[in-house]
Amino acid sequence: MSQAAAIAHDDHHYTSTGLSSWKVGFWTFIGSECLFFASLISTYMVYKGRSVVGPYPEEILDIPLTSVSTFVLLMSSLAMVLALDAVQKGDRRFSLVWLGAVILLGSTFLGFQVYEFNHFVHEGLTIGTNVFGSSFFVLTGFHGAHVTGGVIWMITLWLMAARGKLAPADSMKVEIAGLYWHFVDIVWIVIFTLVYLIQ
Amino acid sequence: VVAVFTVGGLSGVMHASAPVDLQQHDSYFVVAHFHYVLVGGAIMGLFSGLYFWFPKVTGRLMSEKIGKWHFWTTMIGFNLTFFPMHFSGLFGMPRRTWTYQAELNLETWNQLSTVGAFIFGFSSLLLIWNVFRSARKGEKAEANPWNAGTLEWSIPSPPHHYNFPELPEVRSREPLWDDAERAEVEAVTLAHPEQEPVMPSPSFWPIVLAFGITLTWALLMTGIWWMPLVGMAVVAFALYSWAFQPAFR
Repeated sequence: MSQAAAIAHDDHHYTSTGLSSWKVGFWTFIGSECLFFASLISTYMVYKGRSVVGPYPEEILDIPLTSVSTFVLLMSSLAMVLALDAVQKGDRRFSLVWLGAVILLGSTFLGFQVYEFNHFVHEGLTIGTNVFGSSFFVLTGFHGAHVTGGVIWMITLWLMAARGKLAPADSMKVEIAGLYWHFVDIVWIVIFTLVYLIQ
Repeated sequence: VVAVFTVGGLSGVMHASAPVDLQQHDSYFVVAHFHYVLVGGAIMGLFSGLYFWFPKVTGRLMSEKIGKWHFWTTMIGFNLTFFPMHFSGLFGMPRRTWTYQAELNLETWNQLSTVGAFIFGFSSLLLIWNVFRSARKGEKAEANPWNAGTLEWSIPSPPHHYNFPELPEVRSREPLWDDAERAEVEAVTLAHPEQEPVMPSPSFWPIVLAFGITLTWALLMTGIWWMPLVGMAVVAFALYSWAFQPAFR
């Protein structure tokens, strides 16, 4: 086996920066995601308090309910850390347990959001009602879409782990999925603070 | 390039004088001016770049005979089109206007421009012909047909995959013109094929993915709620096919 072929079987192959090119690429993607959410959050902030018809944020946002879903999402990040640890150790059973926990907690957060959106629409707040509705649904909707994409990603990893295709050598795949998951979680912390807590 | 650009540059300076500009404004003089600028500054540079790097890209030389015809028809056609416009413009020919009154005595200038435009247009047909002809049956090019001094001419024409396996050390602007430096560069660029770095294997899924994303947004415009799902299905399929493809050969 030639040297090149030997390197090819190892994900941590040589790069001129010494960093994994997957990781560098993914951090670049997270950088672009930061700008994406920054523009949506600033849009929400700029239009804050400028709605001329109701419902207004203070009438409709439910802080206790959203605190629960925020806690659920935070716990999913903890599960993500433990899942990566289990994969790195080659512990297949706990890889499945913690990846499964991420999927369940992420889906629970999405369930809360579906309930919340449904409730708001019944209260008369749609994406076309006022600038609060437009900026709120676009911001939290895009965040929810990111969580949905993340859950699908985690289900993929869970299935790979179930088939025994997630060895410690593949842990970079879980690490990168974790970067994404933590990023989406952090974005939610910012949204929760700026949209729900500081009204 | 420089001479033509200079004519355009100098006629541009003339616009700075307000009374002169008043006469030139929105006339063929302006059209003449900026065509001298952009043809001299950009188009001719692009043409020369095309002739220069064509053998490096395709491995074949362009025909010098057609090239000379292209050059002369371009120079004559271009100047015949735009030089008279300085005069017709000053004499009152407005730009973006397809006709003019007979008593303005602009016929001669405009006819010169028309003849020139046909020659100029014909010259680009010569270039297109030269490109297609030479790409298929042009004379085979060596690594450095021009005896040029920069790095790309140290590798074969056309370049092999992963042109520089290791970065050569460069100490001057034209390393290939210095014999000692040239030997070092060639030793690095042409040797050690077994040490080629690991490259990701080629994949056509990225282009499928790009198509799916475009399709999703295009189908959103139909206003039918389930239509974008078709595009999203393509996106998902391409993403998974790409992700589960072996990353390295």
